[in-house]
Amino acid sequence: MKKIFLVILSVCIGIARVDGAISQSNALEGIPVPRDLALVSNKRLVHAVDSARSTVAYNPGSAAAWGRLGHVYLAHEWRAEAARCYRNASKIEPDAFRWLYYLGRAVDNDPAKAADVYARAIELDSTYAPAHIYYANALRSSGKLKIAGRHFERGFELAPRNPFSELRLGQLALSAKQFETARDHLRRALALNPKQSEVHAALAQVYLALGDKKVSRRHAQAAQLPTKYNEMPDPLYKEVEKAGVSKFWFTRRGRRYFMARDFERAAEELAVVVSEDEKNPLIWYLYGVSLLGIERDKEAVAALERALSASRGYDHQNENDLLKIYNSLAIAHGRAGDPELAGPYLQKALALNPASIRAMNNLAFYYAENDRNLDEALNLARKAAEVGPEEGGHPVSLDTLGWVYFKRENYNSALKTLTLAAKLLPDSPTVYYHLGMAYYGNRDTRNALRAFTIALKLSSNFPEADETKAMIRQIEAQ
Amino acid sequence: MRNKIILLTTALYVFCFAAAIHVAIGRTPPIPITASAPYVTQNTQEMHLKDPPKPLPDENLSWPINLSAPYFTEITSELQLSDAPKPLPDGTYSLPEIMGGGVSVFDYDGDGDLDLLQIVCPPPGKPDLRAPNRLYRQLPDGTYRNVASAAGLDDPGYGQGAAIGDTDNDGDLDVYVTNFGRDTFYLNNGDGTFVDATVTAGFSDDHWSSSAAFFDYDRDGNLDLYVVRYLLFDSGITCRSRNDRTVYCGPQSFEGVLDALYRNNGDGTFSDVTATSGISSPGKGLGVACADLTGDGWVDIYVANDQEANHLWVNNGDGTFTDEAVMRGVAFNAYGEAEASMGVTVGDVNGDGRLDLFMTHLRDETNTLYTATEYGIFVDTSEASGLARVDRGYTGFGCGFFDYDNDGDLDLALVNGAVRRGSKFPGANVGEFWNSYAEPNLLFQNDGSGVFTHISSLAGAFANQVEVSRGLAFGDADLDGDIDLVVGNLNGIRMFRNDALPLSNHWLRVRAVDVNRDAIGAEVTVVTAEAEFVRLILPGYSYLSSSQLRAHFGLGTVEVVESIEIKWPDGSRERFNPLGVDRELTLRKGSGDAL
Repeated sequence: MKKIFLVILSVCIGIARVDGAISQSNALEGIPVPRDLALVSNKRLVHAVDSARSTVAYNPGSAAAWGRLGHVYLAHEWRAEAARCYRNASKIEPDAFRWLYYLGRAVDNDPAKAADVYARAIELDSTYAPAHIYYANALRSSGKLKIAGRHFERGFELAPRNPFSELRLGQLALSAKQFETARDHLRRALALNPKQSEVHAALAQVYLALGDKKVSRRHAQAAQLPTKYNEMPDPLYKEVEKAGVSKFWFTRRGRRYFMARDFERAAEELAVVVSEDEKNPLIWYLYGVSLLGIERDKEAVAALERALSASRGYDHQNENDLLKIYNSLAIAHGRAGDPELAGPYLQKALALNPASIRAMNNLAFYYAENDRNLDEALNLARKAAEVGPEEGGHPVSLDTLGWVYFKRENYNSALKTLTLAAKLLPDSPTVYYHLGMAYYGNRDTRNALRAFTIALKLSSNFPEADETKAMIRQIEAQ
Repeated sequence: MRNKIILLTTALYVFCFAAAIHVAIGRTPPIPITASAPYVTQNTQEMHLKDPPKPLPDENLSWPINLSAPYFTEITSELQLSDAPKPLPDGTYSLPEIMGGGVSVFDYDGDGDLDLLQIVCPPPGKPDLRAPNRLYRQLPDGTYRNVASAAGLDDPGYGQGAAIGDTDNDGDLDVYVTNFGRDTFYLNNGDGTFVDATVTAGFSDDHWSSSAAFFDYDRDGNLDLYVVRYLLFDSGITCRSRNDRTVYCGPQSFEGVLDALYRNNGDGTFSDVTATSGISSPGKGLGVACADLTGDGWVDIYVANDQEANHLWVNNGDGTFTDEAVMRGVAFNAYGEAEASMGVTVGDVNGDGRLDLFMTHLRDETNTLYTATEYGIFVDTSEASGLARVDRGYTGFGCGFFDYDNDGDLDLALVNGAVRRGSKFPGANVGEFWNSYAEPNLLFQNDGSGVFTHISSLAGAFANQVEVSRGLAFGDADLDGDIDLVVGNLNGIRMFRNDALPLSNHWLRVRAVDVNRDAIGAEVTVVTAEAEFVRLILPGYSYLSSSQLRAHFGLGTVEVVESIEIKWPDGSRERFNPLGVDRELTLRKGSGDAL
């Protein structure tokens, strides 16, 4: 009897499951799915799509659910499917600005279509600056320059710190051969972001047309440098970026956090990338340095070793990349408690590029810290310190040279050099610690105490803070 | 120690990463544009019909003409030119396998008709397979035969493109073949054969070279050579799209490299003068055009770089060059963005006497038309020209201005083929893998002011065949007075006969000869009562390709040419009295009236 009951129960459960599957399948009908999804091997991405589709299936009347699915599609460049989702979201919430804005972003490879969508979005809410700027871009691409100009201006009114509006207005004026107007807009754009290469490019043309070849050339040179800021602040689009689950997005977010010195979040994002058999040495490098930034030193060593081994697989090793890896490995080993392993990497870095200021400085400092090869250290530190900033030199080399002098007990030279280093690097507690040590070596305890105090005022937990405190105690005890 | 080193390294990190990270960015496929899409806004046939009918140049033609006939007819198999294009093996996502396909049209044997050189690269997955180039000799009956082996022009390298020019001033055309790997220089023996003179001439280029062009930058009467190099390819790098599928890596995944400038010493050897000439910025170059773009009489070098600022190497007149691309507005598009520049062409599209530039780009970017202004700068007029409305959905490679209907203005043809997977265009039939890359080609008609109308729906087979196209060369292969097209696809070569039937339109073709050779770089102006037409003797433009060494003028209904002026590559000018229209004229330096 019991057996029969169990059989009946399992059959019922089976039927229920099949029924559930059928209704799930029915519910998913009509919800867009990319044709090439079957070819995607990334399970995380497939799961993200499935999950977002299921949410829509269970809540077909939810604009947010459609929007979320749209974000997943847009983040992974399935624009047509994303557009369908945003359209549905917009039908459900016809007064919501954001769905039309996202729809515009999804179709912005077709400027005429995008312009139409952005226009409708702006009718609902005309206070979002990126919408005006993207609308203006689409209008410009459709040849409607006058209206485009008006929306660039509106974008500027709404976000006066955003240099894009001034840049676009300058470019419009340039194409209309209104060179003075263009110059004024572009100079304002440059004031907002002096390192935006597009502004320099346009100014180079403006000044050439105005007959000032010298200034034109200066801007042309500046335009060749990488732009320091080329993303428009766009909080709404951040939601799309968050929906990105492919390696691309983890890498991008990781890199962005890294650049912002948020090493914890950088490491978190990059950990996903490196967990998937990543072969790119630069990703391992970013990950390793991020780990260093959050003091997971032993893991950093492992990651940087991977960066090094991965870089060997490359046909054309980038010398700069290798230099960076060697230097970081030296730091990581030093911090992981194996300073003797740091030296060989610093030597390799110098061998790779004997003219590298960074390599010279780092090896000199390593020798000084470890009280070895002080002649060679002096030689390297002098060479590094002799290079001016216009040739890639850095004032930190003066600090190294001063520290080498100190180690060689040449206190007068140490004082002279470290005083100059402190002038150039007034915010560095390490430099003041070194300066204090030089004064102390020179038996000038009053100035030594002053320098140590400044160091601790600048930072109470810099790496030599304990030594500094100990020196203060020692002087005060005298 | 640790913080000390960090101080210096972190200060430098920021500068190093931006260029170093490489992650392929997948893009959404464009919405397919079919031949029936409503892009044709100007009825070009009506324009022809306004003109009174003229005596037919060919008695086989009958009036009224068939207005529905396509403008270009494929004649590849009819001329026994090449085997029928075969399906390619699936791609292996190795970048070099999708970049080749150069074609050249030139009269290698001096018999008066155009022969063809097809540059061949090995099939995907077999990079080490020998891939001999093909030289198709045009026979007296108009058909072609591959004579590459007999002529000694069957370079087996990983072929990309070619430059054509008479480097030793002996009256025949020599060939420089660019490869993914060692380039090869072939000297024409003048008897229908070539000899590999790479080493004796002093060439040693084993980079990935793309386009190349002969020109005389120092006005010494000898053709020098500019070789565009693409990038330092690394077969160990693999790339994925935003949705994590394997893709062909973009150029951002690799390091750029310096191009090379070789000076012709006049004794059969060349010297690499890249360093001393000031060509100092590395790029990721794919296309090149050498012409006087600044109007100072010295020929400049324009290099189309892939996803990096383009270079305009302005000739300083003293053997050195300065990059003025940014200042003159031709480095970036109107938004200040570097685009994926591939092919490049040059010509006066609006009849103002100044040379304008056009280059092809990636899908989701527009191709770019830079129009020269009186201020010495160029303005991105892609939108105003009408081109951008159409071409955003395609990845363009070979391109060229040419007057397909001989109405007096420069029209535009370009060939397409994606480098990123996209939706299949209707008509694509090159295998499932390559269908995602195949795109139709485009034809645009100029209204004379630099505004173009999309007329691909009238272009017949040229635009109907949806393939992965790269090279495009221009020349009057059948010597009937209009310009035919040769297309290099990943899977073979195709020739298209111009059947646009400009019955009432006249033409003139000028061969400009300096000493003993075609005067590459000469600027030819045909002066009529109605207008002046400026054209160049310029074979090296488009993408990996070389076109006919003639200046071709469509004259519309003009029957009388008042004079022809030539600005020779050495800066001197001469005026010639013409001898009628609808013919080819050979004008020799020194035989005209000096200006």
